[in-house]
Amino acid sequence: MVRHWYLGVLVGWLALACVAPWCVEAGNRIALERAFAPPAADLWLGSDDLGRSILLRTVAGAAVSAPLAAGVVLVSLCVGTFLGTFGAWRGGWFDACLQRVVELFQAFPGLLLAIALAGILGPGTGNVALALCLVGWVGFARLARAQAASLKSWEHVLVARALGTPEARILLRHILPLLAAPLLVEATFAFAATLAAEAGMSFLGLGAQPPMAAWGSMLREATQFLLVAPHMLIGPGFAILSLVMAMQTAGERLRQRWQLPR
Amino acid sequence: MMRTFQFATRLLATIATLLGVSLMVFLLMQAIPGDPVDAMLGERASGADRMALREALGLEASLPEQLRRYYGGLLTGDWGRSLQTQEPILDLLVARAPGTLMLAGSAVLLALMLALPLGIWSALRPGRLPDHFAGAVALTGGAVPGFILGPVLIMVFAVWLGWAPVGGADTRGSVVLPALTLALGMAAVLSRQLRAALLEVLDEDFMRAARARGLGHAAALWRHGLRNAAIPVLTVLGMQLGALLGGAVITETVFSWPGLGTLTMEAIERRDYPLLQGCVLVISAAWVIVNRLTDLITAWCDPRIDWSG
Repeated sequence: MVRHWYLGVLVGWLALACVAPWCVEAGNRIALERAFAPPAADLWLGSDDLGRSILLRTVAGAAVSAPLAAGVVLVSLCVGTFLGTFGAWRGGWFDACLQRVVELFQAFPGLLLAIALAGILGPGTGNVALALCLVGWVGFARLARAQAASLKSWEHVLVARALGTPEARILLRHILPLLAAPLLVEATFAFAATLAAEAGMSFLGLGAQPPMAAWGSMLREATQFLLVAPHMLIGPGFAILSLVMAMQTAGERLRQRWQLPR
Repeated sequence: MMRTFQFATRLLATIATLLGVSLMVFLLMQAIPGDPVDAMLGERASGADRMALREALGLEASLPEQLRRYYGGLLTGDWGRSLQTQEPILDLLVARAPGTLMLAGSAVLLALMLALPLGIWSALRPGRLPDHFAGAVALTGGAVPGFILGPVLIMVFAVWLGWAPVGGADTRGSVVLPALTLALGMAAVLSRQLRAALLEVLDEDFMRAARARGLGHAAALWRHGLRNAAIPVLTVLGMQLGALLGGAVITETVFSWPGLGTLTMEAIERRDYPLLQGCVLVISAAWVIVNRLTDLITAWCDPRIDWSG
């Protein structure tokens, strides 16, 4: 049971994300008379500078940060896999261009690129998601390309080709299923990294804007009042940490189970 | 001879990458939505101010002409002026770079100090309690982002214990907390890498031979084990150092550390896009160069490494 703690954490956050929409309004309710209230029996994680319940805001944040990270990973996964597989399959100039672009993106510190891009596009969750997608597809494209390039010469693919199977069918039926495991593991780690990156960008003030409760922007508020109300760190800090660690552990376990190399 | 040739091709490849990176930074600035002058001055600016800025940024010219001026400026050291302070951007960057370098250097040092004992300890007792402990520490250390770890360290060491200042760079000790924030994540990855590399090396024939010749366990580890395990660790260290340069934006912001990261954020907040361009360019170029230097050092450590790839 302890071995699978991460599943509990993931299921827990999934459940909280489902009830999150009902917490948004209550979480935004300002009650200045109880500003900076420390954790108490009727106010579990205390309240912030405007007297808003941190517990409710943390739960509400689950519907902002986690879906955004999931969306970014999904888009990056689809775009990256498509480009990488197609490049490996076709070869030629498309593949050569793709490889140069991937190398160029990898020559950049990804987080810095995303921060600069979001800074230029202007603050907001949409622009943060866009910036993270623009950086995120590269890892998937590289992985998919490398895997597909070696699968291309496997016997079952050669046989399918010799039998005259249409290209699209070979890619979908004979190559993609074999890519699924490594890509899924990569996606799990990418989710953890994207969640942390989104929170970091919100922390810098680039992501969710007030009064929206996102974990990163809650931490930003918490550090502003660190000396007055350190309890403001607990909710959003625990949320980010638990989810990132659970996803990383899940990825590691999947990798071990499917015996994939690092 | 072969080495010189390989070195030359690597150098050319590095220059090509730097060219690509600078081109990307140029294109990044083309992503400003709408009129860049509006974005920088706000919509209430006077017509004369707009014209002056348009002139100063060379926005009237065609794209190829802008690109030519951009590279001309980069090469001649004229990186433009900050919109906010009117100071030359290169001067601002040069003034802030030592801060980031010092932070990064201290972080690497701290990370090695933490990772070496942790990695060796868990490699010597794989699967036992110390190993599990080190693994748990590494998992936590690797997962804690700087914007959580930083404030926690401030609370504990600056506010409660009073051992270090809360932020800024006024005293000698101010570098400790931000460096520790960056180092913990690095140490987590490094110690795991070192453990894996050591476990592999400890199983090699030359280690058994060293023990058979009568070398003690510690001496064999020191003389033969660590040296051979160093290469994968070095590679990871280089990658981490690069990541650190990018991630320093957040850590520097947490601690109000005067470096390139906080300069980047100031540029974003004041919509000083020419300055932002300079910041991104310098940090990315540093990352490219660090990565290439790592390749060079690992190849120098292990002559078997094929260098041309």
